[in-house]
Amino acid sequence: MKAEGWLWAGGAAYYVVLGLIYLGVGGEPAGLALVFIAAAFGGLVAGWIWGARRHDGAPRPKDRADADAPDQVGVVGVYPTASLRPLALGTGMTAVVLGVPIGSWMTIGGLAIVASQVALLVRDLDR
Amino acid sequence: MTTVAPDPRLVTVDEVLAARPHHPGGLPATLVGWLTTTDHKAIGVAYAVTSMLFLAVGGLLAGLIRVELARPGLQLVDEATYNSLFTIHGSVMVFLFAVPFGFALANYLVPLQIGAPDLAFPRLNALSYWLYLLGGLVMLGGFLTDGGAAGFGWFAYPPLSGPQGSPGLGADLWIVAILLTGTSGTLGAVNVVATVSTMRAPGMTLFRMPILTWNLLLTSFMILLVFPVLSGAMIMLEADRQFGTHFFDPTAGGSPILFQHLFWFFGHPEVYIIALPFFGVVSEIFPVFARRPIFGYRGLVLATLAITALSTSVWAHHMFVTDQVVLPFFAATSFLIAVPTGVKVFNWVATMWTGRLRFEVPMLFGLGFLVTFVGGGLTGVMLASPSLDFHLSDTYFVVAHFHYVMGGTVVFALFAAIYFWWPKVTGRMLSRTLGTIHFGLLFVGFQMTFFVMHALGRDGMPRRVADYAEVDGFAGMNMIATVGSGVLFVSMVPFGMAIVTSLRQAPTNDADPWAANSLEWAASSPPAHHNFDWLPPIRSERPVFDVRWINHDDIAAPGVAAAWNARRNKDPHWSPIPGNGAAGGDGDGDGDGGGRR
Repeated sequence: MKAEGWLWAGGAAYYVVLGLIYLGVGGEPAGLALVFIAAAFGGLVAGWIWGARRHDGAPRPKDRADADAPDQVGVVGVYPTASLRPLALGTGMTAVVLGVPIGSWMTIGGLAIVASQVALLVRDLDR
Repeated sequence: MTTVAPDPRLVTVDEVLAARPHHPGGLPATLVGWLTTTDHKAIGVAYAVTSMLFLAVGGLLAGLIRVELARPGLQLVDEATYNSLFTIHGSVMVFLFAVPFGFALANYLVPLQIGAPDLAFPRLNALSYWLYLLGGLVMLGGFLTDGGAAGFGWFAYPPLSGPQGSPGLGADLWIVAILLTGTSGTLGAVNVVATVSTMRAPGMTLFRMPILTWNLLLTSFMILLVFPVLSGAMIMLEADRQFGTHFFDPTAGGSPILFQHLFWFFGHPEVYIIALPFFGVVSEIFPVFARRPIFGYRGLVLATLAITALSTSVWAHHMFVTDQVVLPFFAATSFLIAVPTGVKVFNWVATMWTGRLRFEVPMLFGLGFLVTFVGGGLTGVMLASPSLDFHLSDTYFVVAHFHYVMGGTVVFALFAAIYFWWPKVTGRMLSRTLGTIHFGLLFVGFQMTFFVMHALGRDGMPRRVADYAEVDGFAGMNMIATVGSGVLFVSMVPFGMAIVTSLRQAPTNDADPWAANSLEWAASSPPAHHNFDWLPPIRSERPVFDVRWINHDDIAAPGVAAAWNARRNKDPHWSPIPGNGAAGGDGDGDGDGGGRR
């Protein structure tokens, strides 16, 4: 994760420098806000990565140049089977937003779909 | 092309796969299977097919535009319909075709290129796809509304896009569609970043990832940075329209210029969000068909990082004519971005320079990409100069520029990708003859259509007008462009024929038909469920090349033979290649290190 950490930290540092230069040349407030938010965003992810790295300790096999497949045996991940939830959730989200110009009845219906699908997804994950 | 006798010591991926138990693969066979799939390969194919269908829709709208402009006078549609045509054409091409095809590549290829069984969040991935499809349908639904589809241009400047400027429902549907597709893109980017960061195979360090995966990672970084800004701007715009707020209403203290800043903070990186995946595509293709490693791997990665950073610092060069931006700052950053872009072009040319080129169809399209992209890049440098931009802004010169950069670049590299990875996805090859005809027609048609637009713009033809006068002198060049667009349509015929004939023939299931480099070619064709029945040791950015040349210690990457021996010592099951690690040259004495078989 070290390289990933540097990547995000480098991005954050770049936007700090860019923002200061833009401030120096008289940049407008919207652009300044966007650039400094970008810096904060990069810093947030970099901070999380550094924290995770400290927590994990030893480098992961994917970060070691001399690692090979047998160094990472066992369960790689648990993957879901086919699921109708993403389609239903997407339909609900579409209805929520589409209801703004069309009518609140559609937004309410969409919210019901979203709530039910999120609940079902959480139940799926608990199994 | 020189014919070289195959070296018996070369190892093929198919030999390795034949020695191991194979798990079935393939795409869903039923409608229910497609509606419920969470498999990254199926979703990748769904993204690709859907984006190609939207390309057809966008192309049809472009055809109507070209027919309308072929001669002076209004002959096909009225002005309001024309406004909807160019607005939805641009929106479809940007939001529903070009960006999603990048996600098709990310979905299908990122897990395969890094040795992962799927993306990190498969259900989130499926949700991203459905939001994209539904968003696209909502946008096109605007044509069915009373006032017609949105007609304010793909960047929706208020006050034209506000409640007074565009009162119809079509405009609202456009805004909703952008929100949905933007959310889809953001969720997709989260998936790519998480997958690349946490699911690489052992030994696949960041600097051993294929350039395509690097580019998709950095594309996702840009998406995370700028798509939420666009979504924010759309929410504010819809609030102005529906809830009576005045964010962008100048008559009530709002600022249309604020919208332009928000939009272009998204809009310029969007150019690179569209282009970077396709830069990655040709970075995979050129080394394979030049039979050389990519020139300056780290330089290419650093150039991509520089482009990523600089692309978010040039947004207001789209606003030079507002007289509300710091001209020297944005002109300087815009010129600067030409440097890493030039580095990329240099590296691609250098990769081919002393290579032994094979002009297979993906390579032809790759070269078409290179020519078109350099053309668009050069006019981009011209437009970065405020003094030229003042003259050329909102003319057909700009239309020509961005169709070279965002149209030609994408389309040529997209077809390069399709011809290159089709054998991996389907286990079948596409016809070389039909592919060559397809390329020839597309290249001629593209240049005919868009090159003359530079001259039209220089002579002052404004964009987004449905008509012009005979005395303007634009008729001849417009007719050439319209005929060229007809050639573009015709070019799709051999492509369609190639697809149909390929799907009708029996699969060869050749895992590595191009003698390629990256990890996806170590999987069967089509890949098994959860992708890999085996993984080769990863000691360079070309693990499959290293497998092929394992019996040549001076060609395969250092440490590969030792890794195979270590596997054999731990478990013979891990070493399917007999006699690996034997020293010796490549047998033909050319020292090319190339991947011929």
